[in-house]
Amino acid sequence: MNMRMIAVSIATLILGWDGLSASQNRIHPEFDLLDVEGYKVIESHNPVSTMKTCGQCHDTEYIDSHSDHVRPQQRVAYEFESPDPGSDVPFDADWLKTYGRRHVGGGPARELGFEMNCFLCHIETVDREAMMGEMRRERFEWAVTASLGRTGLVARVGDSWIWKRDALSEQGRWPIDRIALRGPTDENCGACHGLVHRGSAPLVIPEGNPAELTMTLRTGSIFSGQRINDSGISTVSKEQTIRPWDVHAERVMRCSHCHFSLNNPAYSLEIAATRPLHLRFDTRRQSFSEYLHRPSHQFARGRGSMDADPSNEPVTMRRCETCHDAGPMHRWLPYPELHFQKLSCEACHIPTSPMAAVREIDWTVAGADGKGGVRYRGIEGEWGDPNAHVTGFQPVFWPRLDEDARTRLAPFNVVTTWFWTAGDPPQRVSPAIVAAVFHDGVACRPEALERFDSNRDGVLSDEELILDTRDKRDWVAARLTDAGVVNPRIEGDAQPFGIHHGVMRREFALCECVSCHAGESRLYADLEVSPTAPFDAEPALRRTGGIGDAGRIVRATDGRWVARMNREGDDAPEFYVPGADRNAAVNRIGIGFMAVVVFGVAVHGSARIVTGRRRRQ
Amino acid sequence: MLIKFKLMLSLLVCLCLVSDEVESAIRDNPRAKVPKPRSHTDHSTFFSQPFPDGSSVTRACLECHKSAASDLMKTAHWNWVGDEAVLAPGHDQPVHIGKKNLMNNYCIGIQSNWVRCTQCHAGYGWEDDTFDFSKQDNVDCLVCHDWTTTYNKDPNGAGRPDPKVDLLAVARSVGYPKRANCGYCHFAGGGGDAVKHGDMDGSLLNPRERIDIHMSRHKLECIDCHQTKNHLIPGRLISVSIDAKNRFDCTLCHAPRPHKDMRLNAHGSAVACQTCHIPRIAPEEATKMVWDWSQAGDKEREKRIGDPHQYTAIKGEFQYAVNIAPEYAWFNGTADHYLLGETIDPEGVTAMARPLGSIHDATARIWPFKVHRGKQIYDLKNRYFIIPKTYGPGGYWTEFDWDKAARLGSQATGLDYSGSFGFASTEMFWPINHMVVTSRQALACKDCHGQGGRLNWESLGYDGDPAVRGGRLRTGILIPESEGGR
Repeated sequence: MNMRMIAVSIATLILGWDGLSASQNRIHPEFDLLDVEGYKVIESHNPVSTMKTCGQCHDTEYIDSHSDHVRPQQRVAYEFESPDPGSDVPFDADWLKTYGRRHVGGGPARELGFEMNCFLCHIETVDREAMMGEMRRERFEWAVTASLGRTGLVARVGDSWIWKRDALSEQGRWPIDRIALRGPTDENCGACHGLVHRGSAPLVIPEGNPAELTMTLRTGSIFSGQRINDSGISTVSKEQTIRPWDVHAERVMRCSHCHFSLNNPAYSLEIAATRPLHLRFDTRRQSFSEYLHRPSHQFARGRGSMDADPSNEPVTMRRCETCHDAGPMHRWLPYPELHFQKLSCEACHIPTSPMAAVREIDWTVAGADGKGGVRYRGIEGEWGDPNAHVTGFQPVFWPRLDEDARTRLAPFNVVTTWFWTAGDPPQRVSPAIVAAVFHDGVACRPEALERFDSNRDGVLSDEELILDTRDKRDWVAARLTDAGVVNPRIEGDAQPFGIHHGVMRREFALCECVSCHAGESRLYADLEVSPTAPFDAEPALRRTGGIGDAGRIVRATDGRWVARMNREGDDAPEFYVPGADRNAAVNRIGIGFMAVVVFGVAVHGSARIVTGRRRRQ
Repeated sequence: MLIKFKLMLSLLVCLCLVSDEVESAIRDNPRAKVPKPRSHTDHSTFFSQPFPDGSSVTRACLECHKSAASDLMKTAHWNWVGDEAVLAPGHDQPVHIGKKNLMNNYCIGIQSNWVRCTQCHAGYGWEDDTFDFSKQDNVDCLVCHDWTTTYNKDPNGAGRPDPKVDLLAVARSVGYPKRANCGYCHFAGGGGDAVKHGDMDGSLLNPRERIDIHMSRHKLECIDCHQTKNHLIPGRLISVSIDAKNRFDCTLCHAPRPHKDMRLNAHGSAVACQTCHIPRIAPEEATKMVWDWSQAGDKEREKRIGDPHQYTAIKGEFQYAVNIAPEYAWFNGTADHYLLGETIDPEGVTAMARPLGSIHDATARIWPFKVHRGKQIYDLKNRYFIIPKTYGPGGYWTEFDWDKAARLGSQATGLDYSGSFGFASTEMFWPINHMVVTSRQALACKDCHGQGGRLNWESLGYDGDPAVRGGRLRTGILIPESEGGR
């Protein structure tokens, strides 16, 4: 069996299985909805228990025990809702009431009654509002049931939920022919992770909580196969922008094709490091029935941008070259192997983001909603405003340590969070305390208006709420001190986010030699980090996600903070880019050669002249 | 030394030429197949006297172009019927069919309505079934060769020119047919611009690239593809023919496997070029999608609605659509057409014209269609459709009397009319061939495959999306070419 046959077999298996999961009703049998005691809910009138219901066939205890989505010590990575992302916080009722909208339940939440909500990812129409409503009322045991509100299986009656017998099957079971249970769709993933879109309706930025567009906000990525010029987003040169938002989405790939369940036998592929030399393809694998009984809910993942130590979290996702054979498609490229060693695929295939992304989150101030100001890059106008003009941005190229221990250039967006800290060791100041400086709970404080309301309209806009002068900074610090904050000071946390989605196909990729190998090299282009940093504050770069030493935040000559890659002449340069970098030794050798040539020509010419004269004489 | 150098140079040049030839044989180079710009003879000095009528112009033309009329008279543009009898599905004997004797679900049929319908005939005076198809004077040269764009046929003149037309000026202007000449009839089929086809309308006269790449960026004329010999214009629609003769396809100019991506080329065995490269129909001008004759006759409603695109008393109720996705069906180039006198199931939907082919047919490919749906009059007892007389004295448009219209129409067709009538549903498939967009605007994978794709794979005969379940060959629906299939 040659490699092509192996690849075809694997692809067939993957696609075949994928088709199976997408076929929705064809595989999943009808089942009883059970409550936590194991009684049918239609008789007990209790909330549904997924542990019991789904546990009739699937090992729900196993799923609940290992999945990142439910695991204890869930890290709060919601930098848009807290000035302190990345730290561990108590997993309690308050946490669920705040962040539960994007939590799948289970794990520690189970102790509060919020079981793993399988329906969030396995049915099409989830009623998140109803689910959150129950959580806000601390009726966590009803949250899963409420999320079925749009299926018609349950109806709210007063403060409670009633199971509707006529909506169930004749046997009182889940009507699988009407309400499909299937593998997660892009929409299921996108509900928490970012903007995904399918279909022919023009893509627009949805209304609602932008914090749920994490991937899009952090990196500008949109997972959609729609061509940009067909979308409803006003972009630069839209009519000519005929590429899709993501070529993989255009080619009908789904989130779960790359972020697959780790024990899904369809994706079983032994890595070269552990594969015996004599064996190219191992046919032995877990059966589908075994998989369906205990499907791993740990999904293939790349290196997390916020992972401080690359060895902490194993990278389980395949690399581009697992599916793609770059060689045949890059025959036009001089020194292809060298390029592949120095550049990540993303560097050339995601050289720009057509979509805007977050640039800064400023918790040193607070708006009327008590939250920090969010500033974007690549957009003229308000995020979510259909009239806003999206200009996109060019990510910075920074070296990234890959799993094969090579350092390659990869595109990053940098999101800087500004916040107040206090005490020693420093603790981040609560947003509520900062908000109280600006608002009295009803309206803006007059003294805040006096200092910040530059247009005197009685409202503090995001543009006005900036601590760009010593006076403003000191005034807020004084108010915080008055509120009991000890030694308040501003810190900036510059978090790089690797960009992996929004891939362009070859026609739109970076492929002109002069783009990189020239004085104005794209590889060394700056990314603006903060044009409006709080007065005298300095962003500190988080070296997470495998970023090498050559990536740094510097103050440009015009005073702006920018993300930049070190080059020849700087400290710790990691790359020498011919045509873009100056190397003294190379220059000296070149000048030497030049001098020798000129000298040779001069000597030869002189000799010819002299001998010519002699000959004539 | 010099000789060696010359030899090497010659060898190098030869190598370059050979490699270029080899490459061009592989590469898709449609421009090379487009006919060279035509030479045109200026006719402005040929005529000095005014022409009293169209026939006198024709006689003048024939003085030089002696075989032109006889050539045209062999074609469907003149006869409105195919030159060969064809065996229609369900019939024992071959029949000559064409616009002359077929029905559709727009204006229904020309019989008894000649005077109005033959405005688009390339001739003069076809106003009843006694028209002399052998008389060369009746040939209308000007409608196809006028370059003034002022030539116009009288809507009530059975193809004769509008009396206001300056025939001398038109005759002096003549040249090869341009878009406006073809479009005079083909853009306006069904009673107005864009009404009938969905892929041909006035926007093609001077289109933007997003409407048609051939006629915009590449400035092609209709006859660059419909390459005419002796007035025989290739290209036929299933609305008037059921066999695959006298047709051509994209490979007239394009390579059979023109894509760089081998997967796209592999689509060619199951998907027509048009399917991906004509993603929308009627992109600019709305086309008629539904025509319900049964609602006709309500003058009050016409006044109330006040929009002839929704309702007219003489024609009934309409639905138009613009920039919509086509419908898709297997098509092997042949078709089935409703023939006069065929019995119908009034409760069902009768296909006036439908493509033949299926997933099991190796010669069939998935093709885009505009499907025009209608409701039209049929004989309640004989259970066949009737061509009613709509135009002229006694016609429905004058007297709003369906019974009389059916009786007069049946006299013209020779079919028995029982005296009772009803209305039955019909549908008619119109293959989409024009308004081709660039590869950049063509359908992408996700438009057809995956969830939310526009193709209904089950209705096309697949078990599911072939991107994941396999196509006709992989799933054994077709035998591979090496074993006799394609």
